[in-house]
Amino acid sequence: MASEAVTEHDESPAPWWGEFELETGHSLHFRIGPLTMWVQRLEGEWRVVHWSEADPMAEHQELQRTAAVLEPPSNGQIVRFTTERPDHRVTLQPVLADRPVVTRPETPIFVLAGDSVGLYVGTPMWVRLLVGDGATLLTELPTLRPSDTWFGPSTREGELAYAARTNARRVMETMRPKPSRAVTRVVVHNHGPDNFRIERINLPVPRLSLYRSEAGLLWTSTVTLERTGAQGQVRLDTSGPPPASAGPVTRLSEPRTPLERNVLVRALSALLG
Amino acid sequence: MGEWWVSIGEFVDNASAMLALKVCLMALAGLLLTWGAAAAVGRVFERKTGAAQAKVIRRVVGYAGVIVVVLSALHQVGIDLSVLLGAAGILTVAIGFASQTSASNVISGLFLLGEQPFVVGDVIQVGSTTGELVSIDLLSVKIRTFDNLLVRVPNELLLKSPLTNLTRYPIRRLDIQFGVSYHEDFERVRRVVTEVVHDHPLCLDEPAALLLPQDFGEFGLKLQFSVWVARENFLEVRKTMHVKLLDALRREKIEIPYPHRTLSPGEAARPFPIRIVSGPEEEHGDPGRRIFER
Repeated sequence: MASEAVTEHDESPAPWWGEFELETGHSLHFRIGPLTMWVQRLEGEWRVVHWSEADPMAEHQELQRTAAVLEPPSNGQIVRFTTERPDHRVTLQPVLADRPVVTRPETPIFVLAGDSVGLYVGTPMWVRLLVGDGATLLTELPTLRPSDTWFGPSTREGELAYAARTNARRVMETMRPKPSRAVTRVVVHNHGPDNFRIERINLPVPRLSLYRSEAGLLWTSTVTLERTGAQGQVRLDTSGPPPASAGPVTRLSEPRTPLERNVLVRALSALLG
Repeated sequence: MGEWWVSIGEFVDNASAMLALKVCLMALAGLLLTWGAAAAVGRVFERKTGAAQAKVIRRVVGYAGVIVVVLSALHQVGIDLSVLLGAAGILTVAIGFASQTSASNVISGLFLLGEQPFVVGDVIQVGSTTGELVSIDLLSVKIRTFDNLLVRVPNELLLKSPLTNLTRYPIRRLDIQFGVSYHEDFERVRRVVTEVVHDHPLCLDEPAALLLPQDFGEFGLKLQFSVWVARENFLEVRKTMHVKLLDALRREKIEIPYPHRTLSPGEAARPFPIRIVSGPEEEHGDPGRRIFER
């Protein structure tokens, strides 16, 4: 079995995404975080096999092309896409989660009246698999399927979100950046008359753009939340670029849900809890 | 043939023919107008209230229009409507008595449409029937049960009896009742079952799962474990949650009690004679015992 390692590393920041050519009968094999995926080009079809490791915190980054069709393991899910097009190009694209992500600071934080706080939050990446020159979408999978959660003032009102497994941190150095996670800087300004307690933050991930820093880390737009007064209103701005500490960045993808205006005024209960 | 045609011609003079033509044209115009009005009113209501309400309003406007057109046509051909309406009044009373149930269903249907406790596509429970609502009509609603049967429930019954809409809110709670032995540490049980929820991506982190002691049962402490799930994942979690809980409790050797019976012959009687024999149970052990052995 001829095998060609495209990249294989745990330390190097080289990207795991990109475009790859696959001859008929060849496979692309990659592991990102706990997710393992094989893409196989067969006669008249694309076959995708994927499975996840039991350990949700597993962190791999590995990409390999092999000149053979591999036998999937018993726990692998197989999906077949038939096609008559003579495409051989596979594109792997990193995208952000398709729902908001609810995260908690390490401990509940009070933002003093007239003061601000900056937090860093890591959210799991999704892998989008496209084929052909027209980039036809085959499938989209999370590198780690986060747990569902509900964010809202009651069980009647609110929205379905993902629960972040990691805490929001105040200092970037305490974060462990991983290739399967994107880091978001959240800044909360409290212009209200009293101290403001933050227990949970509903991060509007589908409204954020994705960036790659020169250090190879994935960043999203900065989220700025501004409490404007005693009333339960918050101004949300998702248009800010990643923080200066990320260094020079290049934009990888646009938000999933494009916004006509980047500044939204929303109920406090819809964003912070 | 020619004679017959001539006699018809004589019978229908010019004036009668004109009148018939006029009535026909008026009726046609009236029906077209009714059709247009019903469609327009339906569209307006569809935007404002919903498809089911619009359908009923469209029908009401349609029927009312047809009645007006028929009455106008009769008036035009010279039939005295007062006599007809008098007769219709008596007829209405007679029909009213005969169709009490239908009228009651129609009125109940209108109330239900106003109240809007459900829309087509919701999963509702009425009495012992649970299923997806496939249509809301003037007299009844049709429910498709999960074993794919069509159940017709009269509107009157819906208005009278309690109705549960299972899909109104986006999240639902799944309650699982089980018991643990009295000698188990309750906090440990709570930790183990909470871990099951934590590991299940379809169970919601918030609202948090709740383990509630319910009663001191005959054989152990009765508990209720409540987990919140997104509406669309309810069945999936319900299918797997019991087994996952059972696996976790077994893994942690937490005993789920099963009925014990103690037989006593009473004070006056002599004790039961007991003879110990060796057999397959001794060799392999009691499976239940082995699982819950501490």
